[in-house]
Amino acid sequence: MNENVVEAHDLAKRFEVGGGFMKEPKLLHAVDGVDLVVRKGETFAIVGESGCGKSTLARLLMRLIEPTEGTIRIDGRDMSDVSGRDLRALRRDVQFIFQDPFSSLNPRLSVARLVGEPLEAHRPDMSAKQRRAEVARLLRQVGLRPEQMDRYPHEFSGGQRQRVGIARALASGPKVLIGDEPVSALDVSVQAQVVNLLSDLRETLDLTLIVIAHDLAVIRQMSDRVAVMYLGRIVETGPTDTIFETPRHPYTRALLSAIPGAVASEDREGLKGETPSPIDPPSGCHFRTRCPHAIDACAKARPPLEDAPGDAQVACIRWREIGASDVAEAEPPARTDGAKARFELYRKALESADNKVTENQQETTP
Amino acid sequence: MLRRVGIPAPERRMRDYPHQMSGGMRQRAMIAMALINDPDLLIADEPTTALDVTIQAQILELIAELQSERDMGTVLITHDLGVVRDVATKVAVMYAGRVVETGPAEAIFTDPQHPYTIGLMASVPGLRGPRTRLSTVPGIVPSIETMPEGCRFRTRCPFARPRCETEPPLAEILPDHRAACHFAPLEQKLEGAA
Repeated sequence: MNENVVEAHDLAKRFEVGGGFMKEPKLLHAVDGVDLVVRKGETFAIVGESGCGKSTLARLLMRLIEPTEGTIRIDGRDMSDVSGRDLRALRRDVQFIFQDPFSSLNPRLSVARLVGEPLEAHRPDMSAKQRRAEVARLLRQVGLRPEQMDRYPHEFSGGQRQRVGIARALASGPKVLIGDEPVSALDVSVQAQVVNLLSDLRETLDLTLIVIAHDLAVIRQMSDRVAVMYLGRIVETGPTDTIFETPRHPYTRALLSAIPGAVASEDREGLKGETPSPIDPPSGCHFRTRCPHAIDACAKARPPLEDAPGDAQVACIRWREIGASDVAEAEPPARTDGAKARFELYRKALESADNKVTENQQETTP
Repeated sequence: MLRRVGIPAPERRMRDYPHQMSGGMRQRAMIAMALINDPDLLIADEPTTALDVTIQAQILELIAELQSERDMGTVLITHDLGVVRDVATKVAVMYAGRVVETGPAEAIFTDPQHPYTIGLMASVPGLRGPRTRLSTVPGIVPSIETMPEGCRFRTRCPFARPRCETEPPLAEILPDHRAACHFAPLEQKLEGAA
C-alpha cells in the first residue's frame, strides 16, 4: 500500500504565444514547476479556477502534450520522453474522461464502436464477437444496458453519454483514470449518480482516480487528497479533510469562502480583481496581487511548499501568522423535524428500491 | 453606469469590444446594459454559471447592492442551490415545466415538502459533515413525448402511488408555502410512513 502510482517532479509546460518575424514570442507559463505524488487507490483532486493550469497538468500526466521541463513517473517508470510502444503502454494504463459528453464522443459511431475502439488498439487479438461481449460487459459495469450498444450518442442523455465515456476509458483496463471536470456538465441529480458510479468503480476495479474540478463540494465528496492550483503552481496540498477544515493559504481560504452558501456573508473573504495573465505573472508569489495579506517580501521570491500541520503543504511565507481557518461557517439550514423525517423517508425509499441497481439502470432511454 | 458595475477605467474600456474583456467584466457590462434604463424588474438567467467562484461571489454581491439601491425586483434563474441560499428571499422550484414547490427561501431550505426538492437537496454534496454516499434522483427528466400524465415527477419519485396519475394541485401546505404533491407533508400523509 501507499505505493506511488503517479509521481511528477518539477513539471513545467510553457507555450509560446504571439511572436513572428524578428519578434520574440512570449511565453505562457501554463504549468510552472509542479511536484505531485498520487498514491495507489486514492482519489486525488486538482482544483483551481479557469486558467490555473489544471487541465494542462492533466494532459501532461497522460503525455497528451509534452512537458517543457520536469519528469513524470507512472508506476515507477519514467514517462517523460517515452514514445512508440512504451507510450502505448502508458495510454493503456492511464485513461482520460472528458468534461463534455456532448462533444467528446464521435456522433457518427455507435456505442459499440466507441467503446470497442480502444479494444481494437490495445487488444488486437480479440475477435469481433469477443469484442462485442467485452463491450457488453463494460456497459453493464457503468450501468448501461448492453442492448443499447448499437445506438448512437445523440440517443442518450448527458449522464448516459458520460457513462459511455467512462466505459470507453475503462476498455483498455487502466490503472489510473484522469477525469477533467467529469461531472460539471451534468445536472445535480445526474451528477450525484456519476459521482457514485466513479467511486464504486474505483473500489471494484482497484483504480486510482485523478479528478480535476472547480466545484469544491464535488471535490470534497470524491477525493482523499487535494492540490489547489493558482496560475500554474500548487499553492496548497494535503488530505481533503485538512484542506477543507483548516485551509491555510489565503487563496484556498478565499476560494472556500466564495462558495455560495458556504460562509456567513459578513465573513466572506472576498477577492478583489481577477487572475492575472499567465503570460506575465507577478514576481514572487503569483497570488500576491489579489492577496489581502501581501507584504513586500511576497514579491521577492517564489514561496516554497512548506510542511504544515495535518499533513498539508502550503506555499505562503506568512501561513503561520495568518493561522488556520477562523472564518465563521454559515449555519447549514437547520431542518425542521418534519423535513428530517422526510429526508430519512427519501433515503429509505431509494434504498428499498435497491438503490445501487436502480440508480445505475433506471435511466431508460426515451 | 460602467463605473457603478465595477469596470475599472470605464472611459477607456467603453471603446473595447466584448472579446477584449474577461468573463467577469463581460457579465458586468451585461448588467450595466440591463440597468441603464432603470428597470423595475431584473431577470437574470444563470448570471454566474459560467464564472469562477471568486468572480461569481463578486457578481452576486454587485447584483444585491444594485437591487437594494434601486428598489428593483430580481428574478434569478439558477440551478445552484448555494446561490439560491445566498441571495433569494422567495423561491419557486420547477420540474419539467411546472412549479412543484414555492415559498419563502427560509422555508424551502429548512422544511422542503416536495419529493423533487428533497431529492435535489440530497444530491448536492455538502461542505461539512460526514462524507457519506450521495442520495440521487434516479433516472432522467422525461422528454416531451414521454411526459407522464398527472404528476410529472412520478416516474422518478421513490414515493409514487397510483393516485399520482392525477395532477396534484399546488396546495398550501403551510402559510405561504405551497407544494404540488398529493402526499405533502410526506411524514404524515404517506401511508405506512410514521
